[in-house]
Amino acid sequence: MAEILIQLIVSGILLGGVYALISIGLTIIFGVLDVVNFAHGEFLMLGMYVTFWLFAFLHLDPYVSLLIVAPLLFFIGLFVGRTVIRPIIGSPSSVQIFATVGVSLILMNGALVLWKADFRSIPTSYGSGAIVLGPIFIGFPQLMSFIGALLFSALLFPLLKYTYLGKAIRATAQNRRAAMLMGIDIQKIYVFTFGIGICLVGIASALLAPIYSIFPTVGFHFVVVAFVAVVLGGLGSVPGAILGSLIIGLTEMFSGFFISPGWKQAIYYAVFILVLIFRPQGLIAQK
Amino acid sequence: MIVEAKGVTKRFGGLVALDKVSFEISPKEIFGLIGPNGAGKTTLFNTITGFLTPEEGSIRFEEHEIVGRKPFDVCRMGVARTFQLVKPFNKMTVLQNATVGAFCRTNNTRIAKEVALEQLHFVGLYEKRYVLASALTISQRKRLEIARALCTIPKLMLLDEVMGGLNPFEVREMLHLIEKIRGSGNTLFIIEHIMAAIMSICDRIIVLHHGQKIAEGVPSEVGSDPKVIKAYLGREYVLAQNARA
Amino acid sequence: MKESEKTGLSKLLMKDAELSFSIIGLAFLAIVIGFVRNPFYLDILIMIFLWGMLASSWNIAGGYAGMFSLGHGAFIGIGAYTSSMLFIHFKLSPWLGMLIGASAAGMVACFLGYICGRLKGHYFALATIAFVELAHISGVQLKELTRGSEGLTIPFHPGWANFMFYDKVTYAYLGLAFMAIIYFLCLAIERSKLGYYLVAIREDEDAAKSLGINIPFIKMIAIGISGFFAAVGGTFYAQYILFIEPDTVLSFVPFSVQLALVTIIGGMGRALGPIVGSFLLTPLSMLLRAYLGGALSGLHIVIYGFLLIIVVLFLPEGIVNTLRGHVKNFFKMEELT
Repeated sequence: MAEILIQLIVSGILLGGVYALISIGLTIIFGVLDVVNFAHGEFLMLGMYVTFWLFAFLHLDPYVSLLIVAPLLFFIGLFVGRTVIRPIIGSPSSVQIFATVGVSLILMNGALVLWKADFRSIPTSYGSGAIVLGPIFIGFPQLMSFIGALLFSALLFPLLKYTYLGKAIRATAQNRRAAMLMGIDIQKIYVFTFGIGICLVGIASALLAPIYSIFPTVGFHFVVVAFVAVVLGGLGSVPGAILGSLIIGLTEMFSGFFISPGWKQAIYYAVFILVLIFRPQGLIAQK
Repeated sequence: MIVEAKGVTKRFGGLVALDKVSFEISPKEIFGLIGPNGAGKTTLFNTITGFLTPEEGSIRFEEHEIVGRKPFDVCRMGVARTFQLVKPFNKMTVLQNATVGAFCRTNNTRIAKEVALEQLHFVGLYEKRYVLASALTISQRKRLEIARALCTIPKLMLLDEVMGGLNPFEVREMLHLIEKIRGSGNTLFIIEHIMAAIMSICDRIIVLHHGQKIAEGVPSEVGSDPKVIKAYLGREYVLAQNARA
Repeated sequence: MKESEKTGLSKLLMKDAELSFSIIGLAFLAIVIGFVRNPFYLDILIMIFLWGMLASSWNIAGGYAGMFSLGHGAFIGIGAYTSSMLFIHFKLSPWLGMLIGASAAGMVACFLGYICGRLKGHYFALATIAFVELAHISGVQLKELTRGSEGLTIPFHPGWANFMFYDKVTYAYLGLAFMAIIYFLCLAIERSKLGYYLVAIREDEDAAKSLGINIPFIKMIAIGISGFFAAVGGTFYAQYILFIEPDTVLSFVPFSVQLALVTIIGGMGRALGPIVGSFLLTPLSMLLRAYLGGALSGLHIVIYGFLLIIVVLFLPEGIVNTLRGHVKNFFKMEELT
């Protein structure tokens, strides 16, 4: 029994690490732009498809494609940020929600139209490989995702903390007017931050491609998880998003094991509502 | 006594915003509240209107305890307020804004509108009744907020810096309006920064500094109280004296 | 003399311009239905009325009160499943089932409004999404009751008592009647204390509180009424389509989103808004699906998405609100608000 528990914990943490990459992007976008990006999951789906096509036509390994997918999604993020997102900043919630829902519908159904509903997958040599530590089974691609997540999060922190751009982003998140008065072009910051958020999703997509099947609505499950993780950790908090993701990863593993898989998702939703009602600032107290 | 506050204390974490504040207001009085920024004036208003609950102390309005009641309840008891930063219902017209207030005392739309029109006349906004609230000037918005509050047929009106942002002409008009409000049977409790104005119109004034009451009395007493001058009047005191002369 | 006469008459017209316009429109539609024979067009009309009705019920909470819900699918589903299950298992007339289902939905809605009432803007929307997804999962998992993802087929035994008819024209008249009822209800609310209070809450909660408005209570009423009528629409849907499944009546996408979309395009917080929205969007989406459906399934939703973004960026007030402004200026109708 202890072995099972440890396995669940290990898998849960690995999974949480993967979710973290998606969640961080979402929370940054919320923290800086105050926009809830309903289309976040669709960008993940987009990245996964790109990774797939790069594999199908150029035989590029997903981990190598990452170097293409990440910048590509960054630019796509800049584009969408500039055209759709920036104009709606500061608009009432209904407008914001619908703009991003619109993007989500376009991407999801665009994929459906172009690439059909068939499930694609990327069969890599290491796809089902694993590292075995005693009784514990660590899936190789899962491990790679986790390491990738750690790596890129680690890169993000100094970026935010030490570079001028990073400071400008944090300043805008804390107080827009003050940032403007300091000479920061917040319009550019908004677009750029959105781009970064989507870039992170792009990285996640390349890392997830060897593990999950790819189909037009694949983003939905991930974005739900990401939302719950972000709300748990406090919208706008990067450490919160990471913590929330880990909690979700563990919850998913444990509930999948002990409860029927059908009801598994219900747990997230219930937790989500409860957190929103009782502690909307998240488990980590936010100023 | 229409209002009796005893030992009102409000803390925000470690910060004591109000420290055992006590005072009384007589009916039909124009009672003033002054103090430097951050003294706790709006916080006091918030505790009286139920927006905040004090940790200690009691506030009685016409023998009924206010502490612990919700804002809508306090309004129904007969206490109305305006806000330092005006809060009009932007997508509604002036008339509709006032009508919302009037519904406090009736369920009938026609009656509510009549009451609203009456109060709009009273504050001088009748001509603008079909204008969207978002299209009004600041002076008009302040008057709208007063009219809207008056529609709830209060006995006590709390005005929070209602002259902020007004030019001298508008200030005089507002003073006139405040006297009119008292004239129609209301008691007024006013926060104001414009010294000349508040000294000239108030029957009595209370001074807050760092959450504590440091003085209370008629304007001339308060104006010459060394504690008050030290806290903040300084030059303003002299100007106020000149204005009243 | 002539001046005051003129203003007197135009005042009367203006005073209830909207009402006059709607009654005329209603009569017009009733006549039109009588002339339409083609079942495809009748189908479109019926769906227009259905979505108009559903969107109007959403509007009460979402448009007037600003409680932007993306979870109304849950209420539609409660209505649809309640009346259908009561009919199938107990042979209870769907008319009664409709009232029972709507009451149940209304109570659930009140509860949701109570617990989530303090949530603002996106937070509230997110909570309602979680809520409808929970409802969806329940619908799928509670197979013994609902037949899960397979869906529930309502056996066809036509007759007034069973709320089913051979003739589409009857459905059309009924749909029009339902939509008209909810429309006039919205109009009545708009002009009543409740309506004023809802808008006040939407515009500024602090000011509303200070004027004697018990916000949690009013919000509960608004969403309760909203949920009630959404469930009524759900029963109507079930009785017309005769097949319901979690992916439609308990869905976030498309149903819950559709309600909000129709209203936002038509104009939130106005009784006519959802109806105008439905007249525009429903035929558009049905035609798109009919002509583009097969080979390019999903294309109609892509176009939807673009439409959504364009409306939201350029016409955030919706059609009715924007038109109202123009009509007001053009006819110098000061009183029209």
